[in-house]
Amino acid sequence: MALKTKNPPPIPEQSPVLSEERILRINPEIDRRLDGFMQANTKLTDYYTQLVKQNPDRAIRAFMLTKMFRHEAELRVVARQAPQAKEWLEQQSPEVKQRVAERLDKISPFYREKAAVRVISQEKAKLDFSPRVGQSMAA
Amino acid sequence: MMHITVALPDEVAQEYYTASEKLADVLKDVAPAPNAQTLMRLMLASFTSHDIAAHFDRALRNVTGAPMPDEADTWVFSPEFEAAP
Repeated sequence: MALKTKNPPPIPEQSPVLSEERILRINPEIDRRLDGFMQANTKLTDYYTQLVKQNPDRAIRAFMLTKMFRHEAELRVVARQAPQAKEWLEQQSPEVKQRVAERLDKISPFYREKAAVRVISQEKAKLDFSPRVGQSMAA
Repeated sequence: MMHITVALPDEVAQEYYTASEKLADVLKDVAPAPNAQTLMRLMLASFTSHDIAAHFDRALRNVTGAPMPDEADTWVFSPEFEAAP
């Protein structure tokens, strides 16, 4: 199956530019964990601190490189999982397929974790997920 | 302990048998290699319900052509983004 690349992010209708205040807002819980991680990895923290100060252009590329590797790894996983999802989708009625596609389109993937859990749990509530022929489960 | 029987595509199952053979080489003369079923249990133990739901969501988006997730660092750092439109 051909692997689709990420679609361009949807253009927000209301606030196209995030304010600096909003971008720099801090999640205290994440911040606390990050402090601990940085203290436990002083060499890496020092390296990036120097890189940002001495060579910001390279720092941007280093930052994006990490993102690229993560993105590529995600695409590889998606490519391997897509046939299973396709099989599930093809077992659904045309109405359900349409509803799933509309729901996924409507929910902004920006909130992927929340959105994913919500979509799946809602669809799960509507559909029969009992084991099919060829699948059995015994405690 | 729950015992399950799941129909796996041949090529998916084959990956586990091949991995077991690779580990047999690594562990040669040291220990018996984990078999394919052990490796399947290992991989199934890797994910939370949250991870699994997210994987399924991404795979469905890939199949249906819905927008794929973008990096969400700003969301991670900013809990109030959760309530943003």
